[in-house]
Amino acid sequence: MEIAYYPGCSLHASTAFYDVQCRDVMGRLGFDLKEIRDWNCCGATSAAKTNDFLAVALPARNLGIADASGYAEMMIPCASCYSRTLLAHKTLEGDKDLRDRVNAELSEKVQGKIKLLSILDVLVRKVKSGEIAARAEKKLAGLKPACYYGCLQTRYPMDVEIGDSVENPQGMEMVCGALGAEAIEWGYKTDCCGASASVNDNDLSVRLMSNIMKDAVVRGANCFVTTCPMCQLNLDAYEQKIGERYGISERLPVYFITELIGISMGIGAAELQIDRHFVESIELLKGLNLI
Amino acid sequence: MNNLLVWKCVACYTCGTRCPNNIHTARITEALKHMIKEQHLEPMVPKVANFHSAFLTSTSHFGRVNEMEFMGIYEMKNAKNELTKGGGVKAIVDELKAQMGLGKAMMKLKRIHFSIDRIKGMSEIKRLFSTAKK
Repeated sequence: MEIAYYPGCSLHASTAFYDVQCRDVMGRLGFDLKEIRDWNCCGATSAAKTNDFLAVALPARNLGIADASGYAEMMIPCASCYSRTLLAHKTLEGDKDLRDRVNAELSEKVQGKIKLLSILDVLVRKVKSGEIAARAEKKLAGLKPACYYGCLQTRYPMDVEIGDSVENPQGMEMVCGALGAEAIEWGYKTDCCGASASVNDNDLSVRLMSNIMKDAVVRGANCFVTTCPMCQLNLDAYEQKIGERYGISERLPVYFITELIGISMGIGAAELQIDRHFVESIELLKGLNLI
Repeated sequence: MNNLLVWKCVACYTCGTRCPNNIHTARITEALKHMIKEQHLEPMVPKVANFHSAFLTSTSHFGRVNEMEFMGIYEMKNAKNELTKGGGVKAIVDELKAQMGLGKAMMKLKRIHFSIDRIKGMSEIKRLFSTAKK
């Protein structure tokens, strides 16, 4: 089944391996991802912090392109891109004036047709149909992930219906269950890692991440799993610093959900590019005989 | 606008999500950031303002953020701030050392991409940026 696909800037740069994994894993789950033509940056949190028109207009151009593409649905794996694009869709739906003003600048107008799906919307569908469990050649026994959703997977600055609990989401836990991994219960699954602050206010971000790490460790997690490129980069790149500064000796690999699904499908770690993590992430899988 | 909250808030939206009165404080800090930029006022934490400005500048060049260019612009803005108002050359050197350390690690991990990804619809992007300024 062909669906439209919006990778976003991170999946073409610092988390390009997430794009590789999405195409491979989704392909095997029956989704032929069709990258929409000439997409632009969604503006992420930066546009929202600079100008309200731009914050809607940048993702709107992508909505127009998606509407013109002829596909009914579009998957957006990055939590930030998905969040900003969904917000643009909702805002334009409710504000005809703004929609006209935005569409005046676009060759492909926003029509509001395309249905936006987060990566978890797609994966949970496949959990419920039994396909994830059926394709899990290798059950991920021994893997105890702390499912980390971060901020943007479930929280919005306006009323938006998401298909999961806001404070205690379960999407990743459902996928883990189907894969035979034992997702732990913990209290920091939607707590902020600091996001852009890891670059512009690093001490603050490292402190926020230390709280996340401490809880995951004390609850017995042996890894993190996430769907957001920013979350993955932050926890992964700074885990050493967090550990050294806050006296945490454990190192938890930070996997993308697609990496866990890929491993259980029997795809190799090198093919999934799991060797591109800062925190060594292959030994744990070898030790549990998962690869 | 002389409130550090404006610059510490990263818009995680936890406040508004939980507020029993539905007050989205993060939207207020966003609005204050807009106003400070529009009125050309000095941000309390220039690095934060520089980050978001550099991000959008890179977007306006290519339609997609070029991470190398974005970080380059960010550090040049920071350097300018440190020289005129801040920690001087030492602060610049410390900052660059930290970022280069990260950059080197990312390069080893093949997480830095040197290609230029420029979209065809640049004229539309430029129009969106200029309309936003009005």
